[in-house]
Amino acid sequence: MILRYCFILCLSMALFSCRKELEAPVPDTDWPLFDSPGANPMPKQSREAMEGIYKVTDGASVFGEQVVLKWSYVAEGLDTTYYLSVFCSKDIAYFTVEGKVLGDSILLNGYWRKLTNTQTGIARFSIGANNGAKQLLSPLPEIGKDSIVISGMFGNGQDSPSNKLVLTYQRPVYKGTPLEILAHRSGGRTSDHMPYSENSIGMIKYASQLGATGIELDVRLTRDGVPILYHDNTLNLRLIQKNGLVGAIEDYSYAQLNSLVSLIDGEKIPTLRQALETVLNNTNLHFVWLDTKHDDSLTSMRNLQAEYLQKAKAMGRSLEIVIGLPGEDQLAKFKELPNYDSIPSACELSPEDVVDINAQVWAPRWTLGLQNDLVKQVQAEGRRAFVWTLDVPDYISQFINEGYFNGILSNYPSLVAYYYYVKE
Amino acid sequence: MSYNFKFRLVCQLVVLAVFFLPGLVSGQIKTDSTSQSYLYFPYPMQAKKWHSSIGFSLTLWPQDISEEAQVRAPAGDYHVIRKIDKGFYLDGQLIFQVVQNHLSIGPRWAHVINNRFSFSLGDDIGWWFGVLKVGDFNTTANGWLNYPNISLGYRVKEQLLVTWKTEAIVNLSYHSSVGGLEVSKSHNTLSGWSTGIYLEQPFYKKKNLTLGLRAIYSNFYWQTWSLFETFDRQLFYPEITVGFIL
Repeated sequence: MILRYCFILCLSMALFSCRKELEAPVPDTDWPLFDSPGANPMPKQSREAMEGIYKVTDGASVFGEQVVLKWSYVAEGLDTTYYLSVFCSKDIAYFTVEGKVLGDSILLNGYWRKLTNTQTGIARFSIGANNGAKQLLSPLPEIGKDSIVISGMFGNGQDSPSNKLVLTYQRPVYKGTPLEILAHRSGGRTSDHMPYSENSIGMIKYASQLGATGIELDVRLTRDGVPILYHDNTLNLRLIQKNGLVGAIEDYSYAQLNSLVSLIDGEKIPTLRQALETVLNNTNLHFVWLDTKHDDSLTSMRNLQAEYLQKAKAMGRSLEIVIGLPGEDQLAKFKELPNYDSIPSACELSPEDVVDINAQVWAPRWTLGLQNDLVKQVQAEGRRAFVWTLDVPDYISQFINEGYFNGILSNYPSLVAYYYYVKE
Repeated sequence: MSYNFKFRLVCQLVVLAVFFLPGLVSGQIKTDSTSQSYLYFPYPMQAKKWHSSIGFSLTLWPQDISEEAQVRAPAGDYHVIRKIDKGFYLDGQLIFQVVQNHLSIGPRWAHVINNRFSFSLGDDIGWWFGVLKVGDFNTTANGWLNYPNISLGYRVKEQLLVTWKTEAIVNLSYHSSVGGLEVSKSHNTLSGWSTGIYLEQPFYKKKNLTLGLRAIYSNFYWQTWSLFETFDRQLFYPEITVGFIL
């Protein structure tokens, strides 16, 4: 009798408790007017002049009182696509749109997303000739307060845009003390339902649109010693599509992983070489933090680091690549490398360890607070201090406005970008 | 949402109907419920005596925040009730995990429908606090919560009591401190809700046992404060509760 009731109890609980499958698919942004033959790419000076802090004069209840506009690009061979990102503080929202010139107006087409939840939708805006486009399209744009008014509509999901949004230019973005805005897991977490899987090539290309100036990559070694990007210890359904494979990723060769495993959004697990190639050739990212997720030899990571630093130098690209050392095991392996004290590294251990290996970056966890004295001490030695992994909006604001860190690693680079660029 | 909400609702109603319908048409139970100790069963207490249980709960954290780790957070659980007045009693609970702890207390009004069914209405105030100052952590946090709740009780057999309890989870305030930095928020927002089924029955030498299964859907669950997660979406936390009625 008791068993019967226990069975019913369990059955009813199973029926009550369904896990929601949350998704945030990128909306279809087709806009015939934007794709019309008369629409042309925006000139460089127009893009640069558009960047700034804008007041949200309509739509503030959804996206907050002010936003930041910044451009980034993704290069594919000879083609370069420019993206205008809008960074908001409310609900960690952002827009990513492309811009074109049509007649004497500017059109902006793309989508928005809130990262605290899964809300997303289409975004279509324009800048009329008398609302700033004429000035922006001049050879030497002179932009002042209220001189640019971006107006348009945003929608929810795949619905046609029907909600008004108006942005009015206020002032330029902050360009004072530099801050590295580092995106966690190559750009963002899979659990945030980004358009690409974490630690994927697509995510690396997307990171700049999220405001990142650099990325953190999780590096593991396959059974045959190939450095690849993967965060977890094991193959699991959090990160990959169902395929029957289980166990530690180090138990599989690269060929096996490449042929049998797809990341959650269908991509292949990238090698570190592919990732660095992407950073160098497709993005304007200038900092890469290789987070060492294994405790084997660091020789292959070091060789790739040296190779791509050399390539960047040859291309005239400003690029830093540091080997991240999260624990004692990795520190010991690092010290086995020849001339380790001249290898760029980011050490998460004590400032004394940082001095010991001559690391360029000291990287404490954010949950220790600002540690202003220690940060200044490290900076006085000619090093930099980056904090990880800081996601809480109020604390991001405090770290930027009250701290001295040179960089912030976050799952929400768009929010770090917002708080940094709105500084005065 | 990928699941079919209507289908789920129909299934729930069928199960509940199968479970409770016999009680509506038959009235074979005559013994007063107070002959047995209970903590969750919504029934007016007869005497102003303390009833308490000690046990544990086990909550599975969702992968969205625990990621690769399968966190099944065990917590000690001390539960006490005491009659205030006719039909009214006080319900208090302490859930302790050392790093974080939760205390709640609130009144209940219980009403008997017939000799099988009874229900109660209640409203608990909860306060949680956490301290994590070890290794890379220099953090503390606390917050106030409100839990308006309703319980439906069903006496299956003489000594087998089943309670279906549902409660809203309302965040009243949140305060955290990280290495000297502080964040405080006062709000009155519905964070989520939970529903659970609890069995209470004799276990060993006149001692009674409580066994509960609870499904929590909430934006914020106090046990996960140290992760400082930022999701504004309801995540699912299944929880099992075992209590030994003292």
